[in-house]
Amino acid sequence: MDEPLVLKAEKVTKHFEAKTGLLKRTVIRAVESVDLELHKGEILALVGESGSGKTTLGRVIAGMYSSTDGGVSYFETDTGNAPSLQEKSTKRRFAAQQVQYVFQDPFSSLPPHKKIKSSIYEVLKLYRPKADAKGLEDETKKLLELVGLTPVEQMKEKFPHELSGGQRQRVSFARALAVRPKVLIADEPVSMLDVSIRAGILELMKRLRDGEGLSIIYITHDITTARVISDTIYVLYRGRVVEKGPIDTVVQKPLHPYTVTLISSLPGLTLGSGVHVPGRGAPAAKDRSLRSEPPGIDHCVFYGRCPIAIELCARERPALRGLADGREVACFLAGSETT
Amino acid sequence: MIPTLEVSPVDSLLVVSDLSVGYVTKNGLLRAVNEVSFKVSPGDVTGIVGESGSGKTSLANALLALLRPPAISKGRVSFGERNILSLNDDELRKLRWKELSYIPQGSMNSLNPVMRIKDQFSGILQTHLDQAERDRIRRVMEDSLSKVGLDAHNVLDAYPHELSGGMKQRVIIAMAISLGPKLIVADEPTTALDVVTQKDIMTMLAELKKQMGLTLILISHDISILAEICNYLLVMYAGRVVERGRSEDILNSPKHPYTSGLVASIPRLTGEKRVAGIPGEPPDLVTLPTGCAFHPRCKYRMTACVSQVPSSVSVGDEREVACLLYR
Ligand SMILES: Nc1ncnc2c1ncn2[C@@H]1O[C@H](COP(=O)(O)OP(=O)(O)OP(=O)(O)O)[C@@H](O)[C@H]1O
Ligand SMILES: Nc1ncnc2c1ncn2[C@@H]1O[C@H](COP(=O)(O)OP(=O)(O)OP(=O)(O)O)[C@@H](O)[C@H]1O
Ligand code: SF4
Ligand code: SF4
Ligand SMILES: [Mg+2]
Ligand SMILES: [Mg+2]
Repeated sequence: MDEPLVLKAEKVTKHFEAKTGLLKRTVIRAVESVDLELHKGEILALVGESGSGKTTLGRVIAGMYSSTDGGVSYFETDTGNAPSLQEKSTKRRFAAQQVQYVFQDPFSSLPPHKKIKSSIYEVLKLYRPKADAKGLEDETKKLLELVGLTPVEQMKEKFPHELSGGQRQRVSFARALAVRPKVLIADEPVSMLDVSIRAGILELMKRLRDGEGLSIIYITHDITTARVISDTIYVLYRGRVVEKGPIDTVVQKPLHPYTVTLISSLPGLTLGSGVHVPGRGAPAAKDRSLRSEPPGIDHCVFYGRCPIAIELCARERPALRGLADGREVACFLAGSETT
Repeated sequence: MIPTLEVSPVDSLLVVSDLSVGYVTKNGLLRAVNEVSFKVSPGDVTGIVGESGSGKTSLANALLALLRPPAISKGRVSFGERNILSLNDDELRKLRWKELSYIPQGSMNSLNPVMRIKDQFSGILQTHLDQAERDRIRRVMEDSLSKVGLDAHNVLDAYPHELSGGMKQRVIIAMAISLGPKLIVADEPTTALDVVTQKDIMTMLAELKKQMGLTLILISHDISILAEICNYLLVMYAGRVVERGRSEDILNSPKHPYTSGLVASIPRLTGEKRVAGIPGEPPDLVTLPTGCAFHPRCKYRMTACVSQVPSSVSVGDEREVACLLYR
């Protein structure tokens, strides 16, 4: 990527404490030492199964959670020389404004008793207290136009309950964009929508990248929609990045056994041909756990489910390794066979 | 019961004729299911696909005589020789679980959180087994759990929160098969699960079907998942079956404009990175569009489509379409 960096996460770690008994507490390692770089005008897909830490990572990046360890630097790409913001308070403020979060659920993320125009106007007003009413109204209309809520004159007068799920999700995008962010974190923005209207939202994200130069972190468990709009993919498993790189490289020939499992589980209809999936058609593990986890955490995160694990995997954790094709993969065996 | 003289359709397990469901709402009658007819032969795996609000769950509830006011339904659902819709509660209770099982939408999340699996499971068995058979309960539970790939010793004593989503869904399926039904109707059985678990569950259902000679009706909004195991598909839009046929025929050459839009909307892992969709929004079921309910979104719309409701016409072997393009 030649475009400048907009943000960089270094060794971001987020642990939660959960009560598991009267006095017992366990640590939930939601995100473990994740490095991530996002460039201007890039769509980065954060993919992984439920509980893999996608939302938690997204929230740390958006400044909604503080990290347990590691941190995120934000760059002011407008100035060209891209100084990173390190000072804590500026950083928080910057994150809050420059990184906007769009939630999965278009049904509960909008104020129910406000007309669409007011729910956008109120965000605009908050961030541009000096602008006059006329200017803000014009900008409201422009935003509605941008997210495809047309005819604007009719749409702006509606209440959330009068809109379909897809339309509500467009309003959420418009509200996020009202802040003029550099980065949008879209957390499962289409997973609650019907397939026939998903396309519109995916198109919108592409348009925001291409037309507005926005950077987007697209959080999803759906690798097929990720491929359609994203440039880069990060595959998360139990809080760790197990494979990352240009999305076409990874999707056409996944190398980490987890990525392989993910892709080979897709329905045949979505797979098509031309995808090299080692071991496709291998029987699914009954309870998805092949062997018990070794004690301690110094083993491969995928060890319990990995069909090709070797003895080394039980006592050492593979680090992400860069391969010649531009991807990185955290597996001792990946890329070693000559396939 | 008086035997009917009419020759019953011997090769069909389930025959649904002109089934309609409406809900009385404050805005008027909401037509959730409109004159749906289809047949299911023993051993079939029939998929009912449609987007949210298209009437899939209402149809399933009507099939199983589970609707209560303000829902109203009419039509006929023949299961063997009986019309399910005219059975009384006692007759229905005898039918359920033993002859047909229903896995409602979201049932894995409706397991009682404060009861161990064995207590919930045996509770169901107790109400459906005769007194004499009750000593079988433990064995029935163990057998059915092992059929769905679970270790009974671990699972029976567990509380729902100790199980993963996939395991909970397996428990639900174990309950559904426990009394050896002929037919299972499962509403969105894999929806909240990740792709890997989805695949595991579908593989398992296909395996059970083979082993136990089951007939399945699977409901989903995801045609690509249904295509994995269904040999027949019904496509619903705004309460009507707009297309019906063998899965491969429908996927290879969808005939109804809605079906082709739906198939084209499936994102793929190969080929062109184009996102297709269907413009517009699904209709309001209280004030349905006149004529063909799909007409506001249809790119093939003709003048007649606005006034005439298309009826199903045969367009090939076991293939029907409700669209005026095929008159
Ligand atoms: N506020 C919290 N308190 C305690 N644990 C949490 C909290 N938020 C998340 N977790 C735990 O952290 C882990 C990662 O959760 P997270 O929501 O980030 O996953 P995800 O990949 O977004 O999953 P999904 O696809 O289901 O949205 C899970 O084990 C989750 O239970
Ligand atoms: N008890 C009810 N009272 C009033 N309207 C209802 C009731 N149940 C369902 N509906 C309406 O009937 C229509 C069909 O709903 P149904 O649940 O059958 O659709 P579905 O295809 O199963 O959708 P989903 O994919 O969201 O599960 C919807 O418009 C719904 O709002
Ligand atoms: S490091 Fe070992 S256990 Fe981990 S994914 Fe690779 S082969 Fe499997
Ligand atoms: S009947 Fe007309 S509007 Fe309806 S699907 Fe066919 S062509 Fe389109
Ligand atoms: Mg999440
Ligand atoms: Mg439903």
